[in-house]
Amino acid sequence: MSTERHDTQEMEDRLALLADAYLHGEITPDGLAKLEALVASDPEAARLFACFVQQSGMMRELYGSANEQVIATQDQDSTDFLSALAALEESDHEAEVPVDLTDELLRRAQQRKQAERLRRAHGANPGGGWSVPPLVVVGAIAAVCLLAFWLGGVFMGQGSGGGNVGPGQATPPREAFAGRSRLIATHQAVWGEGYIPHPGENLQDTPIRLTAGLARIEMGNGTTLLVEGPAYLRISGAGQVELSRGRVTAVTPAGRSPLTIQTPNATIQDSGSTFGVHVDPANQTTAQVYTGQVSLTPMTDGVASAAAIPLSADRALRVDATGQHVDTHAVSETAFIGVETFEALQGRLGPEPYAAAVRRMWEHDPELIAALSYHPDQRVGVYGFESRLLRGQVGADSRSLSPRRDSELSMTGGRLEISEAEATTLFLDLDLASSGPAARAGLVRSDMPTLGRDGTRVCLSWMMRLESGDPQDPAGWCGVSLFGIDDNRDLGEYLFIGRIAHEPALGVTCRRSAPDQPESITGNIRLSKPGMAPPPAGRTMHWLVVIDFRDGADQISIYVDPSLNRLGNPDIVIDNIDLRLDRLRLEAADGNHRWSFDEFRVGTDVRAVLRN
Amino acid sequence: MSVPSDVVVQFLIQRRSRLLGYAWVIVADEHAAEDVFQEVSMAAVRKCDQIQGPEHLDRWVRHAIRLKGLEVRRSRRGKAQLLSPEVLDILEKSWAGGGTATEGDRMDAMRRCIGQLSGPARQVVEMRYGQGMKSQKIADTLGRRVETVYKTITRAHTALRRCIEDRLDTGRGGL
Repeated sequence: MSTERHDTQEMEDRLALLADAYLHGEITPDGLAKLEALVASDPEAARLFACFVQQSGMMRELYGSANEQVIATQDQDSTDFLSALAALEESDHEAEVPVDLTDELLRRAQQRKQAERLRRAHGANPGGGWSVPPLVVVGAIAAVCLLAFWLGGVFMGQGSGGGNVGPGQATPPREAFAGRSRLIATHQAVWGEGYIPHPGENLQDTPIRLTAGLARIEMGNGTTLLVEGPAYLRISGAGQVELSRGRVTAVTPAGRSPLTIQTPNATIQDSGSTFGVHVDPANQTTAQVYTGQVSLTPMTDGVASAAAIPLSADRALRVDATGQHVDTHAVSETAFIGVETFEALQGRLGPEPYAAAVRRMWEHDPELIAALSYHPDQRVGVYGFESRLLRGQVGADSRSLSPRRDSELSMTGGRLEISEAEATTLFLDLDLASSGPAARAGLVRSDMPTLGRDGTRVCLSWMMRLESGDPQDPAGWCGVSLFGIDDNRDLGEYLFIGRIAHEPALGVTCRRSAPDQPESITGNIRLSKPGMAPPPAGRTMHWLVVIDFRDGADQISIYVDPSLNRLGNPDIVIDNIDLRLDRLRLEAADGNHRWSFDEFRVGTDVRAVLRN
Repeated sequence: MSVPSDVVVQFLIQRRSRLLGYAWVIVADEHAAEDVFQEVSMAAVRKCDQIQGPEHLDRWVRHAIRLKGLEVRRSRRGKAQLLSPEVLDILEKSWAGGGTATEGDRMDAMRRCIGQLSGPARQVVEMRYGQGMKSQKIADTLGRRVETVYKTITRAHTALRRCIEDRLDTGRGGL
């Protein structure tokens, strides 16, 4: 930094400090003397000071004037004052000040008090007067969106919940019906290869692969079975379930034929209870009872290795992969999906249960450190892991920047749609608390609350689509910005990724660079991938950003529509930014396009954000 | 030629934050500045038949604010540190400028730039300008040193100024 620039910055800092202290009545006599000396001796200082004062007026206006009204009344008390003003303004403005009207003003002081009383009276009920609307209209806003687990459905050409899958795509029946067991409903379900059941239809006696999401099954014996993906199972009879991987929750009615869940190393039987069974990747089976009682029989190679063990409510047992060892296991209230959670996720129980259910789902994903989910019917969005609701008005949590315009924010189909013309912006603060997911994953720096610990990786994934507008129109931009803690008098926007400003092209825009390197990449970098610029309307783009934090400049690899089987080479690599990441911004502005975002995820590796 | 009252109202709405700042620097108290602005607004509407056009209106309102502000200053004399009238005169030229951007544009830029502040900075700014808290109280509330609060406010101000100017100059937002 040059000496001249340093001096300018120092003066600017000093003026900002003095201006703020002066305006808030906190300036000392010494400070006031310094301020006056600065303003009197340097026209640039005077300009900057005036700028800060005006800026403060705007901030005051922005934050504090929502309820203010300017009220005019028909009182005649200040007639003399106005007459005096009218006379004064006839003279030359620049030369006339200051004018000592002490006597006149003292006389008017009494008038002012009377006017103030009248103003208050009218302010309480301004029926006889009129009012000017407040200048800052605090906008109403809708909330935010994005659906966990929808990703795989879109990328793989499958719709969530089977709703987008045409009948012709389903595997034709190969087996007998599984005892009239029926798929009742799904929540963001993604089915694996093979059999794709549809809500409302009887299930086949064939392996079912629920890659992600939830499925609710009504068994032939009356049991309600909730399956949480990823799970591999087979419904082999009215009360028979073969579970080879994943979690199921069973609610069995009393007085009906018992339910039997067979895992690789255990058999669980019950009647009239609520319990969960989990087969983890290490092939261990965990059974936990919420109500009633079940019996658990350890199995080795399909043969009981021990006598059946009764398991009562609020107890859990774990059977190791060999089926030879059984241990008690800690009971977890949230280890298994309950019917209520399922209902909540479908938005049937209201916003609060919905948020809690979303949080519960996220918390079971240790590699996921941030995500955004939205329920269009409830008009409720949840992000992060603190169950924060964005309801009606986006509000402080999402930090809408244009509240008036964000009142026009529309969200349909579980997507966040933002229109450039409306200049909508959504900020997401990452949860960097010591107990938060990022800290638990070891991503938070020790010296400051930001992501960026050397040697760690953070991945972001989202989908973006131009909904309408001429793709060739160069105006506007839409994309995601990476923000971080600033210590350089800047607002911390390191990188913008998406449809770059004032060019009908995709790419990135950089401002920051590593401290020891020139700002060689400042400005737009167009994406040179064939067929990707400009983005056509209606085409969903998938963006993947992999950030490898290193000592010094970090490496940021950006992929557009990457192959999910093999990532290959990134489309853009930025390697001279020393990034500190603590918040993200989704924004579209200054154009006539309409964009939508969906499935925004932040995770510790590629797999975490491309779950499927 | 007089100015219709609705034109006066529109003017006051459009220039409110700037005029408020003008009053604020004279009286060095945000609440007093609000009172000054409000009273002058009332007067401007009532005297609109004596105002002879937009330029005259601008000068009339600013002059009224100045006079009203000076009156308030007298009542606060000895209670506050106030800029001398000579320095206020110097600042007059700066008030007259301000670029070509409308106040609406500036407010939009301000909203967007405030949103870009880091969480802690935004919190301090909100406490300062939204709740009118003194620095010491902000420091106490946040459990920080008052010097840290001053530093945060200073950086927020300079960052906002640059951000706003950048946005108004380039009309660019992606970065």
